[in-house]
Amino acid sequence: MKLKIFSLIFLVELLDTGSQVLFKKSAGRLDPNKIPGLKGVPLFLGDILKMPSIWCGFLLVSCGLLLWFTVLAEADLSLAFPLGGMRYLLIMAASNLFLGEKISYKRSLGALCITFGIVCIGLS
Amino acid sequence: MKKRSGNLTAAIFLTLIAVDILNACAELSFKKGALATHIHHVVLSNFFEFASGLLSSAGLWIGILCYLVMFLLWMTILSRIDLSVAFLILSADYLLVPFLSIIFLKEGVPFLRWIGIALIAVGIGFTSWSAVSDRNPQT
Repeated sequence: MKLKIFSLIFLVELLDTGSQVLFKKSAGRLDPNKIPGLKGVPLFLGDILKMPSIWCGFLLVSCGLLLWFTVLAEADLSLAFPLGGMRYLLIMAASNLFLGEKISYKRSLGALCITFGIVCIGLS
Repeated sequence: MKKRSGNLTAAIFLTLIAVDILNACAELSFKKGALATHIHHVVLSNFFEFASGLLSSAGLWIGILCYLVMFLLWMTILSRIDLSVAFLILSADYLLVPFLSIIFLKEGVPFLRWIGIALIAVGIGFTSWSAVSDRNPQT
């Protein structure tokens, strides 16, 4: 039972990581100087929704969310939440592999501290 | 050519914390939505009953509204800084929940959880430091 929950959560995290990479790729095409105040939100949203990569990201998020609901129905949030800590390592790897982000030793140390911190919270 | 991301500012950091608060609200709303279905074990045969129960629960729709606002804030953040920095700082949500429990529910926090909280805080510190000191690389 626990293995099933663990595998489901791992799959949710993989889908989430994929969607974040697609969102970052889409956001990279936005002009940060063009980001509006409240009045310009519809235009900003329109620009975002024109990108196919955003829709692929939404598809992955939807699959992940559907799986997440089945996890929540079977497991306590107190178990499911800490296991999500693995996402930080997945995001580090994906940011470097697919987005070419430089992961310095300080950032790696940050990711490791956060992951161990989440494990400690999960065990407490 | 890879577009260089900008540096972490106080405004971006505070926006990330706002995303964390919205995320916590969405998670709690989704949990309420899942509980409202009264189905504790989802299989193929009761999947549609589970889905229709979810669609008629307020929790699902409040959660989706939180996600929409979060998405707009998140895209703004991602257009300005690295995904690896933004995502690591988002882990501050693991700090928010215990602190809110201590302040509002007067809950005791076990020693191991304090260590976890401290490690996450240190991790966010290292990440923010990397986002400020690694900027403007010479490549």
